[in-house]
Amino acid sequence: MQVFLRQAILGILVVLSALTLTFILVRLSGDPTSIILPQDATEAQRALLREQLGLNQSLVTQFLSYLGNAVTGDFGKSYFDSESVTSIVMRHLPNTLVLAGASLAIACLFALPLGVMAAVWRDGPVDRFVQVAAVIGASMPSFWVGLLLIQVFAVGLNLFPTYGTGSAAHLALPALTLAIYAFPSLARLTRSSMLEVLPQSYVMAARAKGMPESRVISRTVLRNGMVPVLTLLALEIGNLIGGAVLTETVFAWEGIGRLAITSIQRRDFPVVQGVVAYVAVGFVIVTFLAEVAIRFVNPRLRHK
Amino acid sequence: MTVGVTLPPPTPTLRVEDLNVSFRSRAGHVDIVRGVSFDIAKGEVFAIIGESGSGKSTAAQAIMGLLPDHARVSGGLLLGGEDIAHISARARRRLLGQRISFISQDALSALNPCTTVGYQIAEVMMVHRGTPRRQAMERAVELLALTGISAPEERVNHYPHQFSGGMRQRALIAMALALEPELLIADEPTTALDATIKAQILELLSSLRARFGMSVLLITHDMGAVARLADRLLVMYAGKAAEVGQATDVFAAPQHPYTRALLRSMPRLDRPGEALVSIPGSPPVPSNPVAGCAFHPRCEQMGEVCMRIAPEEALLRDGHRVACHFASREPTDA
Ligand SMILES: Nc1ncnc2c1ncn2[C@@H]1O[C@H](COP(=O)(O)OP(=O)(O)OP(=O)(O)O)[C@@H](O)[C@H]1O
Ligand SMILES: [Mg+2]
Repeated sequence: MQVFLRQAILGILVVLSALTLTFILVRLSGDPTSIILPQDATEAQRALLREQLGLNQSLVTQFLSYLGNAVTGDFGKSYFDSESVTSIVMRHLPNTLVLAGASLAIACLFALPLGVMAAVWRDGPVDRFVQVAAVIGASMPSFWVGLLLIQVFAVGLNLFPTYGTGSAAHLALPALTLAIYAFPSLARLTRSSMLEVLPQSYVMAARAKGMPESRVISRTVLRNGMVPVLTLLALEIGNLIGGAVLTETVFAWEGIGRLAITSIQRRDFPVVQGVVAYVAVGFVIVTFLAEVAIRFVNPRLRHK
Repeated sequence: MTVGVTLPPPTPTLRVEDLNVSFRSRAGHVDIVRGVSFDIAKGEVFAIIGESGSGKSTAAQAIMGLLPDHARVSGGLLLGGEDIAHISARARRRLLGQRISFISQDALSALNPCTTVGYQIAEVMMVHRGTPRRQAMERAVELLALTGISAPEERVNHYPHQFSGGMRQRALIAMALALEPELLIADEPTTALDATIKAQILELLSSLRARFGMSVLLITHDMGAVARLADRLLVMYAGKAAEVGQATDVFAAPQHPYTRALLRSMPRLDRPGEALVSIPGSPPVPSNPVAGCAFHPRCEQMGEVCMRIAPEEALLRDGHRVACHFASREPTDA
């Protein structure tokens, strides 16, 4: 319980720092009125807009009212279409969740079994393949993978649309791009943590009890080897959201990554702040869930 | 043993005939076990002693068929007269846990940290006999009680890290006894324990052996354990049997110079306070075998022949065998 309390406090600190940092960084990015208003707007018009947007108040006042509202889940309205930030984020968030979920599922589908097989048949063909694939996957930047996939599957083979949001066909290429991004670390960690468990004497003991090999692997090796993999998965979700920013931009996928980029470009402060806040909260929740899952798998931690 | 009429000898629980194990390595094959033969009679405690690296654990794993793929094993293995050296992986799996059980040296690392102790005991019955989980768990409680664990109903649902070292070893014994095997292989079952617990565990093993009428292959460094439990013993040196015989005979009149040195070097419960003399030199490295008798560089009795010719095992009496050129050769009555 104490551990969870610590996690909760840590989570609140993470979200608070994220809110503060974004608040400062967006204001360093420049004056929104120079983008919202035409080039030839007068200084009086700009001052008026700043007042409407509340940007003429002191930074401390702005920060406090922003924090106060944020706690209640109110991040204000977009500078451009006066839609509430929460509703904009909620419109984009499902797309990102679908993308991240699909790519994580694809990555796990390949990385976990391949990682296990690579460890069980160490130095065999599967192991070689995983090693090579992991190196190649890790050395390709995801925007480039995205462009490559578009070139091959969309332009060349005409199997999928090049960009856009909505259908499963639209999802295929961005999800694959992100999956390739997540695959190397996941496969390698799965392999190395299985390799760590395999020589343990409880694995030999399970065989000496006459347990079938499939049961030895699934019950004994996997359960013990999964602990570090679960921890990585939680971090991986954070990484995927980072990776989603680029991938969504390449594929014009209407998720919060793309939303963040367009909002930064047009200095839509409330939207940027809102996106970061929701992502930070989401990240904290995922980390917390991973911690719970690890405790479920590893009883040694449960009783500490 | 003097018997009037010659009875056919009873089938031993385990017969090991000319067991050889070598491991493939970069430098070719390295011989670890080199032509070891012995019988374990029903209900007998048979001990294997020898310095670290002499191949005791390797021999035990070869008997169970649990050596890794890079090991090459040859020789005969008969369990209750049935060949178990040339059987399918499936048949071997059915043997392990049912007819042959194993307890290992390090009880903590021999238990799966992610599963309750009770489930690990119950699992043996569930997998081999198809016992329903509920019933198997009830039996696990009985087994834990049998091995002297208090509050077994509670303990059965605990995880290995909640057990003390001695309790873990008891749990391992409970697991090994679940299906009442014919043969229990115990590889240094008390090494990780302190003296009092060690004595308790040996006591437990001894009483359970009598109760279940099983044979025990006891691998150990502990002369006290051998003196207390073993009916017969095999002294292993550099992968070979230096001496095999009734424990009382070997203790009373060790024939091999290595056995004598070993007995002087190990603390004995029956002769406390006796000064210990360590054996000079060190055992040969398996990848660089010694010509002739493997023990000759360290032997106090070494003669010229020992450098050239490896001694054959010679039968003295009562199944007392010695592999030494200078062992007292008395006429055998076997
Ligand atoms: N899987 C393996 N691959 C290669 N060599 C091995 C393997 N297992 C054991 N050996 C080698 O075999 C030799 C004997 O090892 P073994 O574990 O059988 O000795 P032991 O008599 O049980 O020693 P100890 O008393 O220390 O347990 C050692 O030199 C060891 O390095
Ligand atoms: Mg050993």
